[in-house]
Amino acid sequence: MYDSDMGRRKTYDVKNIIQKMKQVFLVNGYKATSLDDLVKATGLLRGSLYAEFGSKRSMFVSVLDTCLKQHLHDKDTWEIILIGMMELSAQDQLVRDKLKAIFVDVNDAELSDKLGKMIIQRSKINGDDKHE
Amino acid sequence: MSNKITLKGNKMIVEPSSLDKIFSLTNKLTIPFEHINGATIDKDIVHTYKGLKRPGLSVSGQKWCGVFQLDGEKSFWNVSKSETPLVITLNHEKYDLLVLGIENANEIEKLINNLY
Repeated sequence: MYDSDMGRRKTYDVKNIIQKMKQVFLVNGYKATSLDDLVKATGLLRGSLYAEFGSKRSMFVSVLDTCLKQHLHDKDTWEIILIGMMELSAQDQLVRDKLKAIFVDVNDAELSDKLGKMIIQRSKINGDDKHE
Repeated sequence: MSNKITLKGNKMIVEPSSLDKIFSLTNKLTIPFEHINGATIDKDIVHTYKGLKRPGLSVSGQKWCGVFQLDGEKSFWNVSKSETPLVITLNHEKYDLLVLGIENANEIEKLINNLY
């Protein structure tokens, strides 16, 4: 995470901001999330988001790092992992390395099962949309 | 397109198009990789308030050239409304932010974010 050295006085809690950004990425995915979406969700100015994180990609990496450190077995974490795999990993070495490190102790069958279930759940084709 | 970006050795070279060099009063920007924080394609940034012109130029709400200052941050703009803006954030440089219209924005965004 980029530390601002521009004399900007922080009036926000970074962890709270990361949580809010996570919710946006969970709903929209990575590519479809715009800076406007992140500005609206976090309540921060665009300049503050850029000063704190440097880029949208770094914002996602911050969310990924937080999920991996704190909530490895959460459903949300696995959805973020899935988004990273589908949308960033192929062209982003840092994201790829982080994801590879998680899967070191997971066998292929286990991983396929977990991710397959996650995709079905996220797609809502199994009737999870009945209450909407 | 308004700008050409080249990554050469360990530096990023930003070169405004010939006409834009006059409007933006900038010939070329050479930025070491270690001074680059990241790059983001940000289509909506052209609709935001850019700050005070220092000096900067806004042409009929269609093009923005030059330096703007907002909340203590200096940004260099060279982008038209019809272009895809690439926002590059910097550290230890004259500008905190570059907002540039370039042809291969997706490719440059990917290259910059994979520098290290």
